[in-house]
Amino acid sequence: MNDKKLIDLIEKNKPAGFKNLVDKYQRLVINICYGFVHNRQDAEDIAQDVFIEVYRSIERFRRKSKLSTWLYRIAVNKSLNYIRDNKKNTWFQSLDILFNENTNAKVLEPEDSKNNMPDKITENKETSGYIYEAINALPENQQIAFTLKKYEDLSYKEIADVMKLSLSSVESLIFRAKKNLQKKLIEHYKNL
Amino acid sequence: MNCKEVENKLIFYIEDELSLEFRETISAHLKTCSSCNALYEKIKADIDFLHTDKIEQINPGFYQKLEQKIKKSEKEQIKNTVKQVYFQALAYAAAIILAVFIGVALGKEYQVNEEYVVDENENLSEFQLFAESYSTDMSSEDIYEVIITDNE
Repeated sequence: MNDKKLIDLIEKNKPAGFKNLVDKYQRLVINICYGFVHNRQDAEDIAQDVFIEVYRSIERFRRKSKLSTWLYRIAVNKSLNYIRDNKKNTWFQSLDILFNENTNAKVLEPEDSKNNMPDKITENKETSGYIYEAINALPENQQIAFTLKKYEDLSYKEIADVMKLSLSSVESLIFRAKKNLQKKLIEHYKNL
Repeated sequence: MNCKEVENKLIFYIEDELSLEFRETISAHLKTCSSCNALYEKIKADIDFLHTDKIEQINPGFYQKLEQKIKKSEKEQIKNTVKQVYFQALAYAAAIILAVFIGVALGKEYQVNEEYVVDENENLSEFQLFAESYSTDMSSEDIYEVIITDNE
């Protein structure tokens, strides 16, 4: 079912239309979120939030942009908010430990991060998993552009639509993201 | 091309985004330089990993869980709306009661004190009193009547 028919169906019969929308786009949305958080469970939780927002605001979808572009945008925003909230929580946990010695709170140490890595990394002996750290360390706009390119293989035009930027800005962001990743990876492997 | 120059273009070589000339030069360098080749292998493994690092199998309970969350959030939304309306009404009522109390309290401050009531006639001069009493007793006379009687 194409997007136009899908939106028409949602207008006539919201529950049925919404189920079709979720069936069509769930993998795509989950993978976008996964590209940012690198954890399956977290990605599924964020994707659920994305679809809840879509359910609440589908009536406000103006049909000016593509439905997929709109979904990508919500998924990117939710993922970035999740990462920001997580950073805040970790910071507060650190404070908690600093001021309260008896607390049971535990900050994720660099050593722990290896234990929390997705199964795919532990299965794949060729990669160290440092690539995730390198991607997460990129400036936000570079991270978004690179992730949309690598995880969903979106065209530069689609990325420009999602990020509301010009085509040349997206090209520049991806070029700089690759340069920064290369630098970080080379430094990392040389210091091993 | 030296090692530094190769390192600067390694990721673009892996992504096949270089011209044929650069590609051939880097390929030739990697065949002879073991350290650059080792870096190339590691970074290529990372980039290749990203291409395969995707969730293919979706949790079969994904939609069911989503439906439950939507129902729960709708209930919460209704609850919140009711709460909001209730608290708004309460706030308005409290504001009105407060306004009435403030009005009453301020009104008490400005109550008329009998001690300070002044007899209006007390401060009038004798002449004014005389003039007032004279003018009130005098009946008004129509000017035309006066003119007519004079003519007669």
